Amino acid sequence: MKGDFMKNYKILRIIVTIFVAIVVGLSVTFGTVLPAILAIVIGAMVSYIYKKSTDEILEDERIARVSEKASRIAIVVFSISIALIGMFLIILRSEYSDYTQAGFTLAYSSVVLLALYYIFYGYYNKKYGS
Amino acid sequence: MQPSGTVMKILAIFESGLFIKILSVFITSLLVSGLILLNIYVITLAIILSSAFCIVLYINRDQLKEIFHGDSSAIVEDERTQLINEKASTMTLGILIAVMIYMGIILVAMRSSYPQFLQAGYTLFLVGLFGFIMYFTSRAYYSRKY
Amino acid sequence: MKNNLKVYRAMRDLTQEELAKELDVTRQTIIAIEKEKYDPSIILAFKIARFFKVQIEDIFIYPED
Repeated sequence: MKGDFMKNYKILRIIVTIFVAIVVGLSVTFGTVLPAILAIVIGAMVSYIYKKSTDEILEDERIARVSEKASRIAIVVFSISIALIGMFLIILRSEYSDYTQAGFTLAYSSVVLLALYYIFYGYYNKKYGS
Repeated sequence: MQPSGTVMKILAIFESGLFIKILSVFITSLLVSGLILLNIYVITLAIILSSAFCIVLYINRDQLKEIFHGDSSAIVEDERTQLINEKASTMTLGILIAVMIYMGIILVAMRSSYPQFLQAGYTLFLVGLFGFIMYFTSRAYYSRKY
Repeated sequence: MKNNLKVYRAMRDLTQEELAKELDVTRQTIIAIEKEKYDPSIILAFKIARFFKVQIEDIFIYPED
């Protein structure tokens, strides 16, 4: 039954999330990277395999459209926030010298976001007939 | 199904030629103020932003004439450009958030080997988390709407 | 999706720009539809059909499996 599969999939996602969070938290605490990376990869693979193990439709065009509209708003707010915060942290580095690295990290992240966005924009623009 | 008018109007500003004009003015003023104040950091920021801006101009090269001629009757945004924006946003946000969170985790976990990047690691992780929350909040909003 | 938009546009002797203005879309969208690279939304499809005073099925050809 579709309802059972969806329910089981949600339970699985929660279990995987908890497992990954615990392993990542522990590995960061003990200063080891490998368990964290492995946990994330294994968690993603388990979710993917379970999703593919059925013919049921889990995502349709409506869900895809909702996701795309959500991404559009999120990216605008996100990019502006990190760009502005990064810019202020850099400009006010004499007062907040401890956060200069954070400011540069945010500034570079916003540039990477913009570059990545427009690369994908160019790709889809070409795909949909520019 | 009519999305919130105010939200769409705000979004339309960021995707319209007006945003490109605002961005170009902002980058120019940043460069000028950096030169006046002789502040290398502000100039560097302006150069970084202008190199990203070049990508923006390249992608919008078809519409540059309409944007900078100020022809208000020309339509530069429609359902197709919105679809492209949305698909590009989905890909970008997905990849960036994942990369930020992974890199943040790695940098924090390797703090004994690279202590100088600890702050960057925490920043990346928190920013990735922030993006994640932003996405799911807006997704919940649109799921309810549609 | 296959379509006859170019044909109908030619019948009315319209440029892509003129048609785009009539339909409130960009010229690139008209190009993309004619090149069959972009499928318009149902609202735009209805707008196009209404503009040419025909049925949607006359302009857009649904692919048979």
